[in-house]
Amino acid sequence: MTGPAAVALERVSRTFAYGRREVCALDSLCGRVQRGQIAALVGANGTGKTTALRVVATLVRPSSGRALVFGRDVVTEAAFVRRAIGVSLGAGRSFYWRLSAFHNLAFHACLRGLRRRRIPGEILRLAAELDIERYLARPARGLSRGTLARLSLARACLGEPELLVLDEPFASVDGRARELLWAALERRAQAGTAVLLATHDHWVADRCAPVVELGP
Amino acid sequence: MRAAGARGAIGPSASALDRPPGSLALGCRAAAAFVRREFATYVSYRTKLVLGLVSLVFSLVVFSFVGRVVATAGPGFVERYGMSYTSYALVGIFVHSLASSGLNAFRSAVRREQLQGTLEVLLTTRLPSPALVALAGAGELSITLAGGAALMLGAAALVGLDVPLSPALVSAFLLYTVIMCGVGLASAGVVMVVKEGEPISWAVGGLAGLLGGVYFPVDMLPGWLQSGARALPTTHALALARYGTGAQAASGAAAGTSAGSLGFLVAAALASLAVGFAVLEWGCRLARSSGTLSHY
Repeated sequence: MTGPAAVALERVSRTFAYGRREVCALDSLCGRVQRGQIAALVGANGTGKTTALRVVATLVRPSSGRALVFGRDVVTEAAFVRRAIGVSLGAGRSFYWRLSAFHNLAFHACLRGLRRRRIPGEILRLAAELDIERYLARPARGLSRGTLARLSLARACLGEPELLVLDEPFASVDGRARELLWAALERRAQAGTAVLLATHDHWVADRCAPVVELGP
Repeated sequence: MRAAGARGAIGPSASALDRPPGSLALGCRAAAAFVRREFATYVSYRTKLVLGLVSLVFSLVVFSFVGRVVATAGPGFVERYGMSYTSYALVGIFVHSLASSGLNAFRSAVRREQLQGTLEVLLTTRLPSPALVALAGAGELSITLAGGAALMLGAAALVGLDVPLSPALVSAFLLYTVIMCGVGLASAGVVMVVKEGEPISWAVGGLAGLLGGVYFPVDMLPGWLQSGARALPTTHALALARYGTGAQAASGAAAGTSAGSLGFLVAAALASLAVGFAVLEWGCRLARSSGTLSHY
């Protein structure tokens, strides 16, 4: 594989301070994800999966170590990294509940730099792929968790970023929807997109490579 | 599968971001998106929308009756301020609500995104964090502007407005709003870190009302407080606005000449925006460093 890895984690650690107490949320995590791979972070609750994803998504700075996305440091070159990634960090509370699913996607499509005349087509394409067309006109507050999970993946895929960072994308989805989401990720991986996801789902983890197991 | 026909568009090589727009184009598109989002959210609360319209009519009726009372009390008001009391009050309300919105919109936009849980995903998009916060606040400002414009248009149609729109008046209002936006950006930066209990807008808003010459002339204050009052942009904005309406005699003239006030306001607007963005950038950086971006 030529070019830098889509994600390179070099002894990434993160501690959080709660008053005088310091808690280590992530301890010296190493790993690489190449273009075209669907990589999984697995492990028990509290082992740092979400923290690792948030570091890659530029939302949390590592306390030590380095995280690179396509060779760019997530701390010093965060603006480049944000151009390259699509993020889904839990579906439930990340939508504007008063707005329709379509309006939510259109808003984020604008912020991702899509031209306005291309946005409806882009949304309809993703909605068809993830089977959420019939929900587009509904307010986000009226959607089930499983539908919100699909909507969240659609939002992350807007503009087809080069790296998808997904936290539990298969939580709350039924068996059919799980296969639908997995197929969508596989198609992107075949097209060269890198995917880094966290999951507790063995069905998903068994299909991912590489799989990084985080321990306490 | 239904998506099969769309496969050609999947993957980064066929990205819809084939020609990433420049930051200005992206900023304009994002600004429009925030305004659309704000209006769509606002009109989705139908009771609030109806009550807002009813309140607008109530305000017009109240101020038109008070205007009649003031007019019958004596003709001095129009000579002194160059406009009727109704116009005076409505202009004051418009400017005050715009300035207050500038002071509070950015902070409340950050707070709302924190509570909704939408802040993190917003901050993973392509625009720099301070720009996103500024645009989110601008969306709320646009609602205030639209409400104020509706009030003024309604007043013009129903009771008639006689506001002499002098350059001094307009520049005072614009500069004052910009200054308040700068303070508002700084307070949003503090909210990023402390979440609740932000002191900047509280202090500025309180001082403006107490010492800025809103309710009484500044020269009625004790000498030591007058010095403090002259350091406030509100004092200069009101002095300039009153000068602009031909009412310099009533302004108390404590804030100095109109040229001095204009210079002060221009300098304060530039400084306020610079400091506001710097504090906001600091707040975003600190929240990322401490890992508290998603906290509320």
